[in-house]
Amino acid sequence: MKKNKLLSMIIAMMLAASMLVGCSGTAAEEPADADAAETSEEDAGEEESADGEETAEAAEGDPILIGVSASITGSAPTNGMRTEQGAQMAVDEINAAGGVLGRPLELYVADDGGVQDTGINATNLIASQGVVAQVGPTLSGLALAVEGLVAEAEYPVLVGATSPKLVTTMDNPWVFRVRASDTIQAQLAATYATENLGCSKIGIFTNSNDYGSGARTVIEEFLTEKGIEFVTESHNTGDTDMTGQVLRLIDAGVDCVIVWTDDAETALAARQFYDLGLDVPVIGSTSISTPQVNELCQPEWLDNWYSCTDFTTSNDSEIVQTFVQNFNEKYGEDPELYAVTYYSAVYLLKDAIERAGSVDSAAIRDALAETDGLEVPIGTYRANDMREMIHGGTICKMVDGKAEFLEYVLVED
Amino acid sequence: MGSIIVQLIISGIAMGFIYALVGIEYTLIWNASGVLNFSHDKLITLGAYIFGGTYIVGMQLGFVEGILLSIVTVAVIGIIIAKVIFIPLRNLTMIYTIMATVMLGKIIVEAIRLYWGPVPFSVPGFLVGTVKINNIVISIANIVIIIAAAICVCALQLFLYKTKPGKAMRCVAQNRNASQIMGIDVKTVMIITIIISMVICCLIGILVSPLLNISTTMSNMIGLKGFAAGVIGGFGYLPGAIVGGLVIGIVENLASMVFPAVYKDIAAFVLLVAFLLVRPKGITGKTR
Amino acid sequence: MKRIANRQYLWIGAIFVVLALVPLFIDNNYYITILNQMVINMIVVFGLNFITGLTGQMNLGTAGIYAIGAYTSALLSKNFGISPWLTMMAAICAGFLLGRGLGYPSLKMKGVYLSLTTLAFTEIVRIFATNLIDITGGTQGINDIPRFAVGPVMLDTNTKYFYFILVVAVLVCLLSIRIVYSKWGREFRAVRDNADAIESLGLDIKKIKIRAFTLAAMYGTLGGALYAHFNSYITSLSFTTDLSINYVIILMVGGIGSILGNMVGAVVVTLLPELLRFLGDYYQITYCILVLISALFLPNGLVSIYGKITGLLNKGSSAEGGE
Repeated sequence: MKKNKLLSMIIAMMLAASMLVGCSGTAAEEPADADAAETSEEDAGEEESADGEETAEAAEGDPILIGVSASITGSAPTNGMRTEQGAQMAVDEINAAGGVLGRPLELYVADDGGVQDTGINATNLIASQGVVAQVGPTLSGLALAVEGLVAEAEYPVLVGATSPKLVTTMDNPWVFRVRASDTIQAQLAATYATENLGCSKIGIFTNSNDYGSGARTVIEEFLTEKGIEFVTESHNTGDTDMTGQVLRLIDAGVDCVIVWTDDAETALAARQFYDLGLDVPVIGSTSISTPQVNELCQPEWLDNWYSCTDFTTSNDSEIVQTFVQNFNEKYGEDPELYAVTYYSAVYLLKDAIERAGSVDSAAIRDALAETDGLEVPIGTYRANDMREMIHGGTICKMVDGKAEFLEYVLVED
Repeated sequence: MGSIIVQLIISGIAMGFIYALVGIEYTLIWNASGVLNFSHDKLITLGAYIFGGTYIVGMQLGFVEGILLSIVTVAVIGIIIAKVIFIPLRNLTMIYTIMATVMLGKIIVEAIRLYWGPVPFSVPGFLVGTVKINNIVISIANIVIIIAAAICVCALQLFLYKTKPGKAMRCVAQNRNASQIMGIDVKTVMIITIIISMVICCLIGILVSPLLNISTTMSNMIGLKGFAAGVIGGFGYLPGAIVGGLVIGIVENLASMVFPAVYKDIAAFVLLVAFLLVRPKGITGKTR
Repeated sequence: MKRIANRQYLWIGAIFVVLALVPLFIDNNYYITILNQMVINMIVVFGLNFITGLTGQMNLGTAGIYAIGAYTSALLSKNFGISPWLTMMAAICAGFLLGRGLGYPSLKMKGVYLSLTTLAFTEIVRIFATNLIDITGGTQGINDIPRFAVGPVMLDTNTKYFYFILVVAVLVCLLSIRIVYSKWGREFRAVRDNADAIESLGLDIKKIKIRAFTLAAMYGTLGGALYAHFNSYITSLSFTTDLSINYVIILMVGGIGSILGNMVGAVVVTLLPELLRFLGDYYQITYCILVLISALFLPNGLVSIYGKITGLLNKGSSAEGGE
């Protein structure tokens, strides 16, 4: 009992001390910040040396700080890990090659936890570090939550979020989108289903979250315009049993299904489609072609599946293959969508900083808005009026459970 | 249309047995220690990771060895958790017990992420495939789950009514203080119960892994619905959990015929609230 | 007894004064945002304290209540252009109805049932908020929720908004103190400590519980509304069971049943994960372990430490005096 008391006192002291630190944060604010920044740098540095890579010595001078908002904890941890890996790899490469404007790049990574409050705090924290720009968050809900903050802090942010709402409901000169929006991807899927596969009755099966429901709206509009019959079914994130939905699709007699959902649910859908005998061509979001989903599926589940994606490792263009090889050497795995998104985003920033000739955030913003034809593994960046960078997508076919590159389609807007 | 309804009912029964096992697993701990174990879904996840992550994918063992070793590992973890968390909790009021188990769950999730990494995975070739009778499909994993649930309940009933430790468990469930006075070592009984509950969690995790894949969030929903199953069947009464689980499984699947499927999860929770309102004793009318 | 109460008021006042002074020294948006979150959490937990703290009924429905407050105020003010002052009143009314409506069925039963019903309630609200996309915007949420003006002052910066909600928090705190030391407060505590005695006195336990729950719901919806107008953006992703749990953590870490404890809890629990960020990958797990330990070993919360320390000191000095 005595031990308990002692322990409780110690814990109490710790908790109380944390409160004191918080209250005295007024005075100790600056050093605390510096600490946090240093630790995260050290972390990153350690990871590298563990990988046997050399930390960049090529570039000298004060580092240019770039913020990263990644969902490291919470409901989408894979996402956060890949984001960090991709961005870190780009930074290492750039630094090894002499940095930007003769200065090295440096990342400041903050966990957004995949939830609104933590995400807001993460972006505020990044903003208070004096970064010149930020990459992430990826979740559309978070991107919408923090867009006002970066407008206030006045630095550009490159988000991998794809919700159409990021274009339709806001006009923020600081927010750039570095992935093909769902509008483009979903249109691509619907076009491929109707034109290349010649389907006439389409089932739409989407997640009820922002990702799925945004795409659903686009596909429905597209099909209504073309006068093609369709039925829609949805499921919630974390659903485990989709029997009801699948049976209704079968019952409706669809000859093709467009699936738009996240990784875990895509794998579940693949199994249940196969098990319940929904044997029609399936076209889906980028999830299907990511290695993490392929790992979860038996190859036969994915027979006759197609994927509309930003990126596939099977694209044999030189820039993609070099990237895939380097990523494999560094992390021992194939890269996937989030890694390539933020790898490319960092290169986009480098390009913009060089064209701006300074690290002034407004100058970088203007340079970003003028990006035209930058070749990166995820595609060709060209900024339009809405600050969207990517205007096309890749169609893949699943063969033996692996994505195989079919074609890259450019959508004009 | 008819075959759709039959298929929905079959799938509902299959899911229902999962909920039932979840209901049993947390009811055991509730009965023995009066702690509502909010970390139970994470313990299920942990079981799946130990089996899939360490023994099968990591050490490339066979499935049978993998399952046996997982059970042993989980039992050891169970002893630790019992001693560190559940035994100190048994005399605290509910708010502390609930919060402590919630935090235990969060710690498990973070530990999983740090130890096994955040990328979901599956166990190749484990219980995959389906059985088809006419147009009705049921996956092999579900059949195994149904058999496992039946065995679990029978074994537990035998254990509780025919063996000495089992009888002690029942005494403790009825009246902890009186059992103590009667010379039953309440702490040991609690440890045994928690080990049994943990082993069931581990089995659930292993058996649902082909259905749900292995990820940190795999068991969130079945955890919640397992709670509902326990209450609907009759809180604290083990066979009741099976009844409750089946009711939820079937009702939610049939609900997806009537309402948009995204609202089917609500069915379980509405049933839960409705039962609490009208018949708090549950369908079987037996609580402990 | 009276001296303890007086000392408590002193501390409560001190915390409010310190909070009010903080923005004078820092204008970093990161800290100002955390301050806002802290005070909003405080308001919600003042409410939760009635039902879970004083009355001892475990409520895991706070996220659902909070969500309903946030959506009520956000939708009314954004879609119909009603002044946020009125929509916040509407949110509080919604809280009142919710407390009555939900309190009746869930408080019929004792103990663990309430936690399960309220848990189910949170899930139901979340699923509806996610899927009624035409109304709530689903997980894409509602943006451009208007901020508002107090008299001639537009609350356009986070600092101004902070001072506004701080005033609200002080008012709410005074109300709480008033209630805690009134007949209602004594009844609440009696339900927790000695339910049988209450019944023998001919009081209706259920009514008392519903009253406590309704208060909790009204504070909760007010907090939700303040939150919606603070962030100008809400999404159904925020209103999960984890959020409900977070409020109970605040209550527990601070000290159950004590208004001072609620405040200390809100300050510590809102700050702690942010302060732990320097641990990198391990910050979440460290946070969880600290909270778990506090549940196991510090059942009376942080406010009990003060008493323990003074108790030890007194013992020490009296022992010395005896020599």
